Amino acid sequence: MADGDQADDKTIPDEAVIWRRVAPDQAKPTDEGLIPTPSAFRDSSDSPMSAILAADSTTERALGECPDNGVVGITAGELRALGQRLIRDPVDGEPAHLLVAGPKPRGGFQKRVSKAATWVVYPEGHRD
Amino acid sequence: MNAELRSEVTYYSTTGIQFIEPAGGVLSDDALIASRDTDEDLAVERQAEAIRLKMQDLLDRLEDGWDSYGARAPQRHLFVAGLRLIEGLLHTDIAAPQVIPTNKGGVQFEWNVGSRELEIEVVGADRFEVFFEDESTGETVEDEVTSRKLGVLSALVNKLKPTV
Repeated sequence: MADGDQADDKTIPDEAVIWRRVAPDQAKPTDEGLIPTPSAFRDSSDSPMSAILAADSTTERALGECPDNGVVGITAGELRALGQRLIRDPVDGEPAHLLVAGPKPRGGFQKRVSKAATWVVYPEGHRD
Repeated sequence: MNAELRSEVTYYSTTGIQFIEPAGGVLSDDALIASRDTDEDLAVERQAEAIRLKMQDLLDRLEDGWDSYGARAPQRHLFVAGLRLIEGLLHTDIAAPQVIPTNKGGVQFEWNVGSRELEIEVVGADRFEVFFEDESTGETVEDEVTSRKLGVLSALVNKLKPTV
C-alpha cells in the first residue's frame, strides 16, 4: 500500500476522471441542489484521501458494500491545480484505488472540490 | 418515520443529550422556554429542536467507519459542546445550519446563504475551527477559536443576515 509520499503519477492524464464515495450524511441541500459537504474531501486519520480512477473501475465496484452512498467525479487536472498528487494504490477488490495527497485547506481545497465535483451516482440514502 | 416513533425520538432527543451533561442549565428545556417567550424566540427554539433531533439521530445511528473511509463514530462530548455552541448562535433572520458529522467524530455546522458560506467545526470540547467566505466581496476568514472568543463566531454568523 502506498504511503502518500510518492510523486504525482504523470501516467494519469489531466482529463482522467477521479471518483470518490460520499456518504449520505455528507450531502447537503443548497439552492443549487444536493451537493457534497466540503468535509467529505479530507484525508483519513492515517492516510491521504482515497479515490478511484474511473476509467479502470465501475460505479458498482466504487460503491462496494455501500449501495446507499453517492459517487462524485472530478478531473485529475482539477485536483492537481489544487495542489494534489495522484498516487496509484491498488487494494484488494479495487485495483483502480488512488491516493490524493497534498494539503487540503478548507477554502483552498475542500470547498472548491465540493463545488466542482459532480454526482456520478446520487446518494440514495440521503435523508433531508 | 411514523408518529409514534417520531414522538419517541423527540423524547429521547430532548432528554438524551441533556441528561448526559446539563452544563449549568445551558441545554435545559426549562431554561430555554423560560427565556424565550416571544415569537422570534420560539422560532429560534424550533430551529434548536430540529438541530437537537438531527444530532441525536447521528449519535444514535453512526458507527466507526460510517463514511466507508474509517471515520470515527460521533463523539458525545463533541456533540454536547456543539449543541451548547449552536444554541447561542441561532437567529430568526438566518436559516438553521446543516448539521454534518466529521470523520474525526466531531460535528460541523454549515450555512450557505447566497454568496456567503460559513463552517464551524467542533474539534474539541472548547475548540472550534471556523471558515467564512463571501464570494461577492472576496472576504475570507479561516481561524480556530475557543469559547473565550465566541464573539468572533457571532460576528461571522451576523454576516449571514439578509442585506437590505
